[in-house]
Amino acid sequence: MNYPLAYPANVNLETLRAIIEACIEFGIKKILVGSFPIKGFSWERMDSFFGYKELFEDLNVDFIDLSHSDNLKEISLENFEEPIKIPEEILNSSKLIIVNQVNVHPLFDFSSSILNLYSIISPEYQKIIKQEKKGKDYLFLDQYKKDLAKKILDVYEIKKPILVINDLFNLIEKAGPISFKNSKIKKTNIMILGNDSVAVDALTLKLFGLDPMNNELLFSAMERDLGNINVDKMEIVGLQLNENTLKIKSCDKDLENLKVHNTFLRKGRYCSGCYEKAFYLLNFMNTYLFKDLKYIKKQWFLIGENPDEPEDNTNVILFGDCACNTTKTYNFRKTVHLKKVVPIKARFLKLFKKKIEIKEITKEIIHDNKKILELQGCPPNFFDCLASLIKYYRKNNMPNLNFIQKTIELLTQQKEKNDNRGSFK
Amino acid sequence: MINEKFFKDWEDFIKFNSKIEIIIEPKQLTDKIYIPLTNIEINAYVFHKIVEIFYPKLMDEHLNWVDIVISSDDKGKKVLMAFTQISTKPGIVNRIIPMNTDDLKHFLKKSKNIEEIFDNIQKFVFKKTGVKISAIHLYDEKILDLINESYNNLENQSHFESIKRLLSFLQKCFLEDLIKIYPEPSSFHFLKQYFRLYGKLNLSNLFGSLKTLMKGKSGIFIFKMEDLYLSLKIFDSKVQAKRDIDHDMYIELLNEEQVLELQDDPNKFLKKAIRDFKLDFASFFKLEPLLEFLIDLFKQDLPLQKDDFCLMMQKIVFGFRSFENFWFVQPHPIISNTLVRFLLRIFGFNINIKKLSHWNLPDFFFNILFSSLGFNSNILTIIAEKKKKANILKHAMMLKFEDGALTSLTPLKSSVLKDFNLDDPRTFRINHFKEKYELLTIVIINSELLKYFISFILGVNKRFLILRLLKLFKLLKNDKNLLIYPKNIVLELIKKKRSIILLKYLLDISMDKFEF
Repeated sequence: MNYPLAYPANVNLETLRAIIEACIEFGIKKILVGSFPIKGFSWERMDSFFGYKELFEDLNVDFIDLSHSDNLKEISLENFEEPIKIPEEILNSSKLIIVNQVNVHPLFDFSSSILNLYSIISPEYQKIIKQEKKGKDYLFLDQYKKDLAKKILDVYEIKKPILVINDLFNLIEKAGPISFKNSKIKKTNIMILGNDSVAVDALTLKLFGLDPMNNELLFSAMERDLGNINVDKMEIVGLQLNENTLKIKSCDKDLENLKVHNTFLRKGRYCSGCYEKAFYLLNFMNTYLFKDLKYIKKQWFLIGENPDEPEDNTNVILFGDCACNTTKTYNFRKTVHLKKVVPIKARFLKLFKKKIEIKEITKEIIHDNKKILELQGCPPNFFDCLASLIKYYRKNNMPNLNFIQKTIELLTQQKEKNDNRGSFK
Repeated sequence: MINEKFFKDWEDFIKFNSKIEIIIEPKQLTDKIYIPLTNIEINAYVFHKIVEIFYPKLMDEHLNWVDIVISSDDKGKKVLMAFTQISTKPGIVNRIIPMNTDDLKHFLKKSKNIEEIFDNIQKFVFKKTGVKISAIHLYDEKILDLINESYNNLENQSHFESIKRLLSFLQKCFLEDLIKIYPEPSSFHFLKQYFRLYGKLNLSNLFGSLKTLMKGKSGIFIFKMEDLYLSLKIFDSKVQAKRDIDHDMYIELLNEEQVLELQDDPNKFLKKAIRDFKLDFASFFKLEPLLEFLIDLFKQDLPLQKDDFCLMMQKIVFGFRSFENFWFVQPHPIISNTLVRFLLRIFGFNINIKKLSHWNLPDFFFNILFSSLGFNSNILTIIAEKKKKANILKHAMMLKFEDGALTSLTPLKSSVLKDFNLDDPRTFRINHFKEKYELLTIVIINSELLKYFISFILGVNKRFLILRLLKLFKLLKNDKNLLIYPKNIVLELIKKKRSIILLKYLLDISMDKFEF
């Protein structure tokens, strides 16, 4: 459960139930279902809106919010800066099954099962800390993505699943789960199951007509000998699918193609982290903030290192640390006002000689530009960005975002005392 | 055999059409005819003008056509009767020529598809009569029984009832696929798709519920289309009895003097109409934008995809905001009074019908709704009635959405929902999920809330709009009036926030900030 959104943005509960029923049929006595939710959202609260736990009550399944787990075991992993804590429920489980809802993903083409498994660690540990190495260009090498892939695979190695289900029966293409308007559902009626996550993901990618060798995550998995990505060497049972059977519309790799109303993009060199968050933020704006963007009239969205200078200096949004730090000397940082003033000498002379002609001179007055919004972070947090936007533009200029912000507040607030789902009585 | 009354009504229309060609001032004619399949008698010139204006726009520019009634059995290869309808303008038939059924029989037998039937019959008719037809209409013989059924005891029905019958007739024709037209007009294609997807929704009953909503109200609707000004007077049955009025509905043409008055000042004219005819309300609609909207709508494929749906909704909201441009109403909405709006704005409430954000509302509303419900969702909507002892399930409907498009709309019989307990939707949702692997969102609406909501929409011209809006919020906040199970985030926000604050949020989203 990644988002406070319903299927197919999240896992299909119908599929989940069928799998649990099958597990029970095979004699499995205790079943736990859980993951770490995204920061700020609790399973408990999401359950009160989506009502998923009650659908499994008869099956004796325990739903666990891993962020509330008391039994955490500290593990040191090669690519993590510090030891990470993993819930014992995961580590001690006899069998781990991944039920993965496949959708397009801006970084790794699609939300793979390996990526899904990354949610067994807290979002705090999932963060990538920018560490520039001497002589290596962080952006050119796309170190963010490489570091992320390494961490994901480190976590994958802790506990490998015995069954992986890539559910692409209905998948969201184009803009992905966050944007209803710019996304599209593709009904494929296909599920890919297997006991090797890497192979299942590689086959899924091959089905989309993409080469697993070009996928950072799968390529790294192959390099680390974590699984097979060569589809020709796989034993495929069921539908024999030709290559390119499913052509999906992937997330747009170029942010300029997103065409957000009244928003002008100026980009420099940016990392995958900033691209991913900017992709979601711009799509969110496109979907929900149409009215707000109309009121704003014009905004500049600067992303990456040394982006191009905006043509004017009103409403400049600097997205990410790179954009904030490398534009300190840019012209838009200052505002220049031309003011006509009378020189003091001329004024003084005027006191004595009334007939003297006073000539006004034009003087440049330079101030710091206050119409700049810096969205700090590497990459910035999505929800912090929304809060900053509303603070910068003010509520009355952002009616849509203000309303959405209130709904997010409602979703993220702690569970109420009487959090019943209501009755028509 | 074709119903005599139906045939006579159509013949009367044809006779009038042929007569009108040689008359200089057709408006002066006082001939009356019945609208086919109804008991509504109107001025023949009015009906002629309606057909002349609407037919080419909605049914394409079909000039002459052949009507063929075919048998239901024999795989539809037996021709029972056929006519060539000859028209001077699209829809304006002025001559009807019966055709020999034997001549047509072999065309139907030897042709592979309707396109080939049309080509062959077109050549045949041209060779025989010199008339080039532009369409063929194929009717299943069952339609004759349906026509007879529609005319059965029709004279004793009210006009309103006869319209209900007409709608029921059309619904049956489409559901049973009794009519085929080639080339198919876009409107016909749209309706075919509509009934295929949503045909289980009874149109006749839906139209009937209008009367319930209009209860106790009599009014006049004036429609303008090109140079045609029509009035439709509707009388409530009590008013009809009290004032000894023959029918519940009158369709008339405005005279030149009235047209001038209306053009000069529509509001003044509507006020006068209320006074003269002792009515409760009067409204004036320009039909050109509505027709344009319908033409656009008919070009769409069903189910409407989310973008198209939002666009159509935008057009509807735009029509609503075009108050005193596309439509007028009396009594005049107090909210459109500048002073009232100014005073409300001082208190932070920006409310103005003419400034509805048609460009934002549908998109924003549907984006929020489908993000919380899911792109693919099943919504069981239940309308319940509150009784002292128990709640009664009145109507139920299953709505299925795929990628935000409404793919099916099925009214459910009470037998299907015999296990449904209004006080406990949870159990039904769980059992449904267990048995059918189908996740449901259950919406239970109190019929009183629905009535209040509709009367609120219809009564935008009434006083105390803000107070009535606040009352609506108050009703929405109560689980007894509206329950969504499991919780919906938008409804929860409505329930949590104070009505005044909520009103401000919603007005900010719904109204344009700038007055110019």
